[in-house]
Amino acid sequence: MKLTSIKVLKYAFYASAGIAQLGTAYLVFSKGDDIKSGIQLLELSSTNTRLALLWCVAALVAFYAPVFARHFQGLQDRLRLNDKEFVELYKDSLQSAINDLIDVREDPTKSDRVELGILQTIVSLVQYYVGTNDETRVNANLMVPLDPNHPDCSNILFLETPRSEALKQCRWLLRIDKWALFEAEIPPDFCLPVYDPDGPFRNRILLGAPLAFIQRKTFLLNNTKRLRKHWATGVSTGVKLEMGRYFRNERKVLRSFASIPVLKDSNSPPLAILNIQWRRTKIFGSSAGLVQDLLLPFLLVLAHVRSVGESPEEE
Amino acid sequence: MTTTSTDSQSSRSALSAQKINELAFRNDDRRLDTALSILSYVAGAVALLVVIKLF
Repeated sequence: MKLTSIKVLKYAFYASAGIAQLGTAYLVFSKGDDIKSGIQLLELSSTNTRLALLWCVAALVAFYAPVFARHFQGLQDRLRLNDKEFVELYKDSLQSAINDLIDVREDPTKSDRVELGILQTIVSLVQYYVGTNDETRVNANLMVPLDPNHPDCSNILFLETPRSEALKQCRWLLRIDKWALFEAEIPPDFCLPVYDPDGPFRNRILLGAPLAFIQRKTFLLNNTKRLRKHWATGVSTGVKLEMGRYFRNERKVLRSFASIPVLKDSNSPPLAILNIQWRRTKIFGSSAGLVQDLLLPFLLVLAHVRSVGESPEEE
Repeated sequence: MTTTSTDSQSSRSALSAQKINELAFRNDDRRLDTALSILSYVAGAVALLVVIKLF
């Protein structure tokens, strides 16, 4: 079925729902007694019974049409990615990313600009998938691992207490290196602790980017108001409260997010973590795997661009 | 629309991102869907109340 047909069906069901709901209410208001007697009489030749049947049909449509409308909405979300025009643009953007990588290999000073371009492509893909064009709604950043004693990491958030002891247990700190689009709301300079996965704080690894970094797999948070099931067993109440407060403060720009490791190969730690955020819940909708598959080639290109930028002599 | 720069300093990827954004702009029906979804719930609730009250 074509995307346009699905859209037409969706709006047709929404329209039928509205008409049927108002029709049901109108019939009850104006012909309530007739409908009642029609149901009691239950004789097809009777006008009142026919009226009662019409009311029943209207009530059924009023009840089921929104269900079908939402079914087609889900179908549209999935089929949006098969749209011919989108597929062409997707191929073009992947080709562009590969050409950009070739450019970076020739001139590593371009890596920053190319990384930014790939981040913007990723944001655009997710925006297209979720069906919104508002640039402030979806944004992405790239977090890079730094040494725990790195001078750029003076402001470490969500660190366990005592902080000096917790800092000793950190193997990396994650710091935002760049945003796809300017983000005024999120604090610009902060680092997140990533505890040594073999150390005593291994059960205190934070949800989000740190967990994605250690586990080397995507971490998806559909609703920042529901953190309970995501906590590691050893995370202290203080840290939980601090993070809950952070998400409450940033709820206008951050209601759901995905942290995806940027991996060049399967043996070394991730080169970076890509965080994609949205101001509404369920950033990857009902087809999370589908979106991740779509982003995978770009993540791979990003990893190669990053590795060229970090160590040009190896390339 | 995106704030992606289109000057000579933009990468090819940034320009591609802009094209996808333009497509997203044309396909933006999220607001309408949300409004319709809320309206259908409200209309449903009103209809239900009317039915309960009169029967």
